[in-house]
Parts: sequence; structure tokens; C-alpha cells
Amino acid sequence: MSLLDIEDLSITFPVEGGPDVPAVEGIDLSVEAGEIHGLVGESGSGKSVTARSVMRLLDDAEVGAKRFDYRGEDLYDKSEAEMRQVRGDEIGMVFQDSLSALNPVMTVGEQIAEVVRHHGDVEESTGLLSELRRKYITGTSTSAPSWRRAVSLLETVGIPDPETVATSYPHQLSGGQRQRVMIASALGGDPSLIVADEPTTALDVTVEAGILGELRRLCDELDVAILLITHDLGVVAETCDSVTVMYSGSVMERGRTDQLFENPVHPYTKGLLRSIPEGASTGGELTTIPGSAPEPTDRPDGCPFRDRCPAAFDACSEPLPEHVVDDGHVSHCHLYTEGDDPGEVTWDAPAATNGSLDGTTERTHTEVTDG
Amino acid sequence: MGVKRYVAKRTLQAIGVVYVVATAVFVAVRSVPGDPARLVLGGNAEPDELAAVRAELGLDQPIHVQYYRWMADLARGDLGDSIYTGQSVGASIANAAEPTLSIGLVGITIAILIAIPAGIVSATRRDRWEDYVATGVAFLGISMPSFWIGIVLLLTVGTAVPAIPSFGYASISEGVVPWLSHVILPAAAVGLPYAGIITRMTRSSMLEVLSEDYMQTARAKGLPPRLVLFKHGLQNALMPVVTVAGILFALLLGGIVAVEMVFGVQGFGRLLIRSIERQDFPIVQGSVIVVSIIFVFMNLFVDLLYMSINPKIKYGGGA
Ligand SMILES: Nc1ncnc2c1ncn2[C@@H]1O[C@H](COP(=O)(O)OP(=O)(O)OP(=O)(O)O)[C@@H](O)[C@H]1O
Ligand SMILES: [Mg+2]
Repeated sequence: MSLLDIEDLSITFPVEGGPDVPAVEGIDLSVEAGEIHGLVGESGSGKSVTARSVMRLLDDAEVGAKRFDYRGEDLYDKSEAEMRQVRGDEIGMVFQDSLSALNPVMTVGEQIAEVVRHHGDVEESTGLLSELRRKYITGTSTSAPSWRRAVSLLETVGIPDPETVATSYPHQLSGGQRQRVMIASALGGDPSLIVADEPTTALDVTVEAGILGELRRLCDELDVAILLITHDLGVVAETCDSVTVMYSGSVMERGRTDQLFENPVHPYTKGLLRSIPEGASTGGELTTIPGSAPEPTDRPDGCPFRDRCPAAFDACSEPLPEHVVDDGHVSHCHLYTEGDDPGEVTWDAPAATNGSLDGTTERTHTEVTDG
Repeated sequence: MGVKRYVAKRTLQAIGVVYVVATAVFVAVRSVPGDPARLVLGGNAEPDELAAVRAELGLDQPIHVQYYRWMADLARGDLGDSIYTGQSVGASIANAAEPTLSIGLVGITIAILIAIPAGIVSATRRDRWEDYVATGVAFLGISMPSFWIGIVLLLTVGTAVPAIPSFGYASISEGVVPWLSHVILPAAAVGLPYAGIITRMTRSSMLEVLSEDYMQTARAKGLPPRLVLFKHGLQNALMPVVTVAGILFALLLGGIVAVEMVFGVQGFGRLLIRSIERQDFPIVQGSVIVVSIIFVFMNLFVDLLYMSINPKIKYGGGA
């Protein structure tokens, strides 16, 4: 049984005086215990809303799924009170922009310690009044078990001098340190799953490599599964055990990382992989897929990718089929109907840009192939 | 720099401000047409009587000597004597200050006790009936001047509740209950417009905070909603409210002057108006200086409060 097992998830934002926004349309997603699963896709493909749907944080959206199981229990069957026991306790969350995601008026130590108090096995009161007393009057005692646990978590995520950092405010720390603080606070309740929404996108390449290395280590040592959201296939190649490739609200292909990288079958995946640099030494010209993804309100029938796909044909306006390529390797593409060999997919002249899916950053991932 | 040095620095600045105000008052009083000695003695005074009074008031001295004496007296805390009563200006103001400060402080307290919870409810129950009620009452408060609210309170609560006297003032030395029963209506009258403004500010600032990422982080930690609101939201939401508290305080003082008239309270506002009518210039100039001192220190207090709730601000830093 998968740790997280989602089938046919749709997320729609009702918009007043306009068409509803179908941000996600019928995707499957599963994360095995103790693995790092990459959720990769261009900007606007629906990664963040999917991540937030796992925490049931989407108040303004309609979320529907055939199955939304965590440890075999449907999260959307739970009461709000039960859900609070899942958040922080079973599933921790790390956001992209650590400066805005951490509270500016609380020490980072307290921001970790409160998770420990609510979800860890320390005997400290968590009533509203005790928490408010700690916040506004006495502060958290540095000898309290929750504070000491916060300091040791900071150490766990590789922060030097954790005692001092714990008493700092977010704006006093560097971006990399702050992101480690976020990870420490996600670990505060000893969760089995961490949902990390682009945890390194705001960081520069060396700091990013450090954080990704940390996630890999935590996954291996603490046996915590990570749903790692990124728009960077280089990050996936480097860090993930398996991966789901999203495009404009749908899943194009999913499988183990080695399956996808060695034997991509979907034209979209092939196009993406083609745009990854071949190695540090080549530098130079990179390619990406020409065109841009449609708005959720403006998708073609059938496969959302068909307007940009060089292999598109009549059947592509039909609903997406499921094609099992290999054990655990699934592609959703009309080229692969029973027994057909689609042959080579050819692309038009490559556009010169980088290997990142958002098509805006100048960063290249030299560590992708030589690392 | 530490808080002590910061306060010391700001106090020096405050003294500078008061010095400038004192100079301005000195110039203003002496450029008003009319002879204070004649005012004291009335229209048909003898010239030698006039000269005597001028000498007593120091008005026969050259202007720079008058200025020096004015500042020297001020530095000793001597604001002169009332032309009419002969009582020292300091004592006159001190007597009048108690009712005014009582009304002001109780008014602020009422305003805060009403406005902050109302603003929070308004934001968290946005576009529901609670929000509409709070918004309606807030606009009512903002759009009615204090003296008008005072008259309405007087005619309604003041007449309906016998325990609440509708006239005069009882010193706190006569007991808390008589004091509060006299103060409560005028305080409500000055506090309600203030409450209206703070309610609206708290609402909009809380709405902004509710959509911040760190509030989502707090929810993602599995914290109960009230803890998310009061532990993670409140302090952030109050920051912009505190920054305008100093300005609102000025508004409140303005309201007190008129409200004292309505409730027949012998307070600072009354003293000031009577002194202006009688051209009792020592009291007028003393009052202006006392008010400026109150303002300067009120602003210092507000700044310190702001710094204490915003860890991003360092003492002595620019912003
Ligand atoms: N609150 C909302 N109301 C309406 N539409 C929304 C809302 N939140 C997200 N969307 C839409 O849902 C789609 C998916 O958004 P999402 O943030 O999940 O993309 P993403 O894959 O995380 O992109 P990025 O890489 O830029 O973070 C977008 O088209 C977005 O406009
Ligand atoms: Mg996103």
C-alpha cells in the first residue's frame, strides 16, 4: 500500500462572474513510504494546488477525487479536528518562499517548538491561554523540552550554532538557513510525509544543492517520504526516486526516475529531457519546447499538450488514455494504443533557452549529469 | 543601541521640539494686537496703573530680555500666573488636567476594548452579518462628531440610568465609582469615533494578515484556528494600527474640548476656551506648551510600543 494514494483528483476554483478554473483535471498521484517523489511541471500546471490539497488547505476550491488515501484512510472523509492531527503530525509542509512563510514576529525556535508541543511527545500544555502566555508574556523557556527539541532539529537539518539561530527572527537569517528552519519545523511532529513545494527555487545553485542533499539524507536516515515539487528536471534526476510529470492540470507520464530518464515515452517528457543540458562541459545551447502551456480555462479537448505536440493526430482530441509502459511506468498518450509502435518523435528547430521548465531563470543545472 | 540610549536621544529631541514651540508661542502672543495690561485693567485705566501692570508682567523690558526671562522661567517649570485669577498657570492647568486626562484615558480604553475585537470579528467573519454590523457601527461612530455623540448619550443613557450623573465631574479621590460614573459618558463620546477608525484599520490589516503565507504555514502545522489567529495573526495585524495611534490621540484631544462643554466638566478644554475668551495669555501659552509636551511624549511612547512588537526595527535604526 502506498503511503499517499490519490486517484482521479480534480481541483476547480469557482470564479465569480467568469468561467471556473479547472486547475487540476483527474490526476493520479502516489507516494511510497520512505521515498522522494518528484512532482514536476511548468508554471501553472497545478503543482502547488495539488500540494495544498494534500493538507486540505484549499478553502476556496472544489476538490474531488475517487480516492484520496493517506495510509489507507481518505483524508477528505476526516473531520476538520481529525485533519489537524494529520497536519504537522503525519504530514509536514515546506513552502517555497521561506521569508513570507515564516512568521516575522516569532523566533524561529518558537516556530519549530510549537509544532513539537502540538505533535511531539513532550508534556507541555498547548491550550490557547498557555500558548498566548508564551507568545506575549513569558516567551518559551529555553529549558523547555520543546525548545530543546527545536534546537536539536535545527542541528539535524545542518544549521551550525543552533542555540543562537533558534533565538533569531526569520529576517536575520539567510535564505538557505530559513529554508532549513522550515524543514526543521516540518519535522517537528515526526511526520511520515513532507510535502515540499519548490523548497529550493528561491535559492542559488550551491545553497540549493545543500538543501537537496539534506532532504535526501533526511529521507534515508529518518525514513520520511517527501513529495518534492519542482519545475526542474535536474532536481528530479538528482534527488528523486520516482516522478510524476504534470502538464496543464493533467499527468503526462509517471514512473521511477530511472525509467523516465532512460526510457521516456511521452512526447512531452521527451521534449523536456531534450532540454536538459548534456553535461557541465557542454554549456552552450539548450533547447526547450516551443510555445507555451494553455490557461486552465482555455485548454483544448482531450490532451492539453496536443497544440504543442509534434506528434499530434486526430485521436488526441479524445480523453487521455492510460498506457502502462512497464511496472510502475505509466504514460497518458494516444500514440500508445495497444500494440502500436509510435516510432521516433521529431521536434522542430530547437529554441535556445535553458533546462528549467519555467523558461525564465538563467540558472543551469550542471550538477544534473555530472553529479 | 539599547532602549535606554534611544529614549535619552528621543527625550533630547523632544526638548528641542518644546523649545521651538515655546519660541513660536512667545512670538505669537506678542504679535497679537491689543495691550494685555489694558485687558487686565479694563477700558478706562489710568496710564500709571497700566505702566505698573506692564512692569509686573515684564512687558516694559526689551524684547530679548523678555525672551530670555520666558525661557528661563520655562526651564524652571514656571509658566507665570493667570492674569485673572492670579493663580499660577501650572496649578491652573494641573487642576483642569485631571478630568481631561480621565476622560481621555477612559475614552482610549473604551475605544481599544471595543475596536480591536470588533475589527478582528469583522475580518474573520468577512461579508457576514457580524461584519456588516461592525462596519455599520464603525461608520456611524466615524461620521458623528464627539460632542454630538455626547449630547445623544446625555439624552438617552444619561436620563434613563439614574446611577449615571449627566453633569459635572467627581475626582478619583472621591472614589472610583463616583469618578467612573461621571467619566463614562464623556469618555464614550470621545472614544466612539476613535473606536470606529481603529475598527476599520484593524479589519483591513487583519484581512491582509489572514492572506499571508505564514498564516497558511501555521494552519499546515495543525494548529487550531484560534491559535493561528491570536498567536500568528494578531501581533502582525496590530502593527499598522499602532503607528497611527499617535495621530488618533490628537483627534481624541480635540474631541474632549467640545465634550467637556456638553457635560459641564471643568477640564482642560474649558480652561483653554475661557482663557482665550478672556485673553488670559499666560494660561493660553502655558497650555500650548503643555499640550506640545504631551504630544511629543505620546509619540515617543507609540514609537516604543511599535518597536516592542516589531522585531525588525532596531532602536536608533532609520525605520
Ligand atoms: N485561488 C485560485 N483561484 C483561481 N485560480 C487559481 C487559484 N490558485 C491557483 N489557481 C490556478 O490554478 C492553476 C495552477 O496553479 P498552481 O499554483 O498549482 O501552479 P504551479 O504548478 O504551482 O505553478 P508554479 O510553478 O508557478 O508555482 C493556475 O492556472 C492558477 O492560475
Ligand atoms: Mg507553485
